[in-house]
Amino acid sequence: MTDKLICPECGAENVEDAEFCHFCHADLKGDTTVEFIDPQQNDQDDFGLLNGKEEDLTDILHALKQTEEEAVLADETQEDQLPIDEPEDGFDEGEAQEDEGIPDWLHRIRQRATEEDDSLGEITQKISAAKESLKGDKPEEQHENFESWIEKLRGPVGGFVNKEPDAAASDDAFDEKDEEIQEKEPDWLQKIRVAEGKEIVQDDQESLDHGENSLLNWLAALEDSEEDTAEVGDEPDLVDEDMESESVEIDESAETREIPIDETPLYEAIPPKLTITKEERNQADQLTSMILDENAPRPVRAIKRRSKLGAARFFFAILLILSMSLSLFIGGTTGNQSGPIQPHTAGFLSWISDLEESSSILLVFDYQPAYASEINLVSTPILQSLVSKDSEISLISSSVSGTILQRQLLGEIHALETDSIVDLGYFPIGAYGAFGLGMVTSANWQIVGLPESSKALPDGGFDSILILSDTAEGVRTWIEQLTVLMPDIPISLVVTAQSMPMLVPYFDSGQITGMVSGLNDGVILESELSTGILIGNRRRAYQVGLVMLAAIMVIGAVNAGNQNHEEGGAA
Amino acid sequence: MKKILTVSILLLIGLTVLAGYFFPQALGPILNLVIDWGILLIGTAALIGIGYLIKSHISRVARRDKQSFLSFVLLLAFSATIIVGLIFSFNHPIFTDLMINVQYPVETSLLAVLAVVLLTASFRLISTRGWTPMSIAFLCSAVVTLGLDAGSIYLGTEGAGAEILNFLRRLPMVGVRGILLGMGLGGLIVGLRVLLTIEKPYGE
Amino acid sequence: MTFSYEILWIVFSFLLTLMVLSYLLGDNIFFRFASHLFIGVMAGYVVLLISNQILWPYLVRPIVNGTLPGVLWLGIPVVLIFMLVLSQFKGLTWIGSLPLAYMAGLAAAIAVGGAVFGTLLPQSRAIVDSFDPAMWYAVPNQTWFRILDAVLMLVGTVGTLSYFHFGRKRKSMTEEDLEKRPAILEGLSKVGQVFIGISLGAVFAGVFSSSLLALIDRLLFIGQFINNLFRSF
Repeated sequence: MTDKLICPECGAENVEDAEFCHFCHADLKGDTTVEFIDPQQNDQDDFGLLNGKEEDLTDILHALKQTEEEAVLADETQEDQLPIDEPEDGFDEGEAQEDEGIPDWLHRIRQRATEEDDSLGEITQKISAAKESLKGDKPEEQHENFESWIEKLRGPVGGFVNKEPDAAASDDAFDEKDEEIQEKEPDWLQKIRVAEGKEIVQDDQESLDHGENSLLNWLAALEDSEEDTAEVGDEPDLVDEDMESESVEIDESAETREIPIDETPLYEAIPPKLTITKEERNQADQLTSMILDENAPRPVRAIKRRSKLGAARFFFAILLILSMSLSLFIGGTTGNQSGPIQPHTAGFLSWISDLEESSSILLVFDYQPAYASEINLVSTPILQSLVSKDSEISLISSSVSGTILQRQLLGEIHALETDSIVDLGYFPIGAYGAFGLGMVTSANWQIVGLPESSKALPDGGFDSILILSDTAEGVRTWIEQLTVLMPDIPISLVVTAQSMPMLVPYFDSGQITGMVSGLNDGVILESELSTGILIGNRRRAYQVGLVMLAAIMVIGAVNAGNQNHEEGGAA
Repeated sequence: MKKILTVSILLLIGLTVLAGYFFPQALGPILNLVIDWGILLIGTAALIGIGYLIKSHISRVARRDKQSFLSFVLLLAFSATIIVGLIFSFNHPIFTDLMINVQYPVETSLLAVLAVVLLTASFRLISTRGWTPMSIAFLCSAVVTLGLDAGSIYLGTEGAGAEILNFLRRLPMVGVRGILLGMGLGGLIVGLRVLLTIEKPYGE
Repeated sequence: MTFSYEILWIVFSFLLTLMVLSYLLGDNIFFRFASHLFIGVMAGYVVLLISNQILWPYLVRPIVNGTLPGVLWLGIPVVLIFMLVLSQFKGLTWIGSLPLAYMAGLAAAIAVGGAVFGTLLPQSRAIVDSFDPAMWYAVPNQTWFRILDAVLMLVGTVGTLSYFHFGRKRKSMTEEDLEKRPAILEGLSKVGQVFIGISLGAVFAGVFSSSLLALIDRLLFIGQFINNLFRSF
């Protein structure tokens, strides 16, 4: 016998001199030390439920059983609410013996179990307390010895499955009772048992021979299967009905006990202690928003709207293509007047005019074929100018198609025939290429035995860098690296009209010397560098398209304003 | 142990690269090596990605899905490209022509479709976004920029008119500078979070 | 010009162009055919590109032609590549964390260095420099214009920055949260909205310009193709 303190709040065992419960932290001061009954000695006297095989029940079962079960079973047996087999060793006798020496705390608990609504919550607390104690230094062997008890607890399904036909026939009374009990069982419990039974059938009861016989594993599996049932949601009524049911029957083959429970859901009685990580919380938030979004009302007119949009798109397509075609194929060329030259364009023009003969130029190809027509219009006169100055050109590509496009562009101006062009290869990420290039040019020593670098740079480094790009982001990574690692080398840009506005600040801050973009700058370059006419009628079609967009934007805005006005008037 | 090794590599590489900005001459050869290895890894990652793409389309063809014909087209195009690239060299004119004559028309046409889509969207701009300060500024700026590009707004090449035009051209740069600074700050924060192992994009 | 070769490619390009442009009539099988063909060709091209431009020069050639110390150096990336490939198999995902950490460290450090030294410092310095009196008086009769420009630049940039929320987003900002911000920050944020709108309007016009040039290019191509077709008959 050992002296232990039983917490009056949760029933967990505590050491004799404990001031607070180790589980629920309830104040234990003032509670008297109770005599702890060793289960190995007194299990038959206690409950009379277990045969010799279950004599080695540990503290876990006591935590589960010694208070509520005892009290509840006693009460329910007396009330005869369900047909219960008479225990072989006399349940009533044991219960009566126990009643004689009931301590006050147990009496209180019994009272609560019968009167208060949250009595089931305490049972759950005890399960949790049992789990907690299991997590401690209890050896696993202890749990594995509950095999027979768990078999019974798993219910009749496993038993039925494994029962010999003869044995089943000889035990009619037993079966009838079981069937009757099964009928009264809540659905969720049947489901669990079916699941357990199925598992047993599939695994040929192998699982029973191993760690799954542990009480902790079984309890965890019980909880999991309940949660799964709720999560799947294929039969949501089942869960609700379970919550509302007034009793839960726990079948122990021949021994059936009815435990009264309240209407409170089992897992709401004691919120589980959860440690939630940030990722889990985010996932939960996402799931919540998805669920909410799922219930959100959907616009019924979506299909109608889409067809309306398709018709509008078709109308605008016809309008644009017709006007473009007319201005492209009918009439002569237009004048090249396009207002004052912008500072960055002027900067570019001065850079190219100041470029010395036989300078070493690095050309960075960072654009896709979609923008090749625009880039080629602007860059062709520039490249012709560079070739005419006998520049030593090194090529780097940081777009997937860059290697092909550079060959196409240089082939068009017959620059590939010259020996002054060196291909430095392809860099999958522009920033890596720029950083690596900066490091190569800065290094003043070499690692012994290092493989030969694939970057055959010119001896004196680069005199200038020209970046041809279609995206502001791509250019930004090059500028960011090169202006730090090669601050003395002037950088110029040939970019698309879409990326130009995002790059103007780099000209303003002095990080680049000049920039040209779009058709207008192409016209300026054509006239300044006198390299023939590539643009031709494109400019007129371009102007028509731009004016059309501006007009449509204004008309759309006026239309929206009118609609708002009408709606306001109607309201 | 695994976590320590992972974080060690992250910090070693990250700090060495950062130090490279201050001591490029001393660390240049090492960092050049580091970059080369990084490029190799990125190339491998890209190949793995393409492998997954091809695998998914092979499974679609095997399942005879509704769109399996298109997956078959994709696989055929993939195989043909590989075969042509292996038979001829990567720089051979036939291979280059194949690439150019597929990539160029498809990509340029897609961009052309975008022009029509933008035109349609611009008509519905205000009715969709409403009259807000941002939408009004957007509308006015777009119309003015389009007018300037088209040459419809012309105030001369010198004098006050030219100054006004230059001012109008320069005005978008104000917001762009703010956006660039914002992007820079964002990049800095994300980069630092990775280097301080607050974010773990490499998974743990 | 050889008839069979060049004409073949021109017809091929023409058909692809029509297939993609057919999207203007709505999503259809021709468009999807062209896009799948494009993806297949691009995937094959990328495989060859990586083999030819990355694996060969950075890995295979140094191993084949290099010295023993050089080959030993390459052991490190080979191991990393091997780990990256192995991590794609079930149960071995954890192996990939090492090469991924390598790439993450490299990318993060380059991003930080580039952002600080390539954008934040130079752009901030440009704003400060615009208040340099020497610049105000550099061009005669434009002093007030320069001052106005500098003030506008400062207010607009600060306003744009104040419009962004640099912090850890715990939940979506409600109207109440917005009201909690200091009034001056709120006012600057409103100013920033206008400047962001102006910038995005200019970018939008640029995007349309680029796509318009692509449309013009395709229309010219189709027109020339039809013209040549009629001439040949």
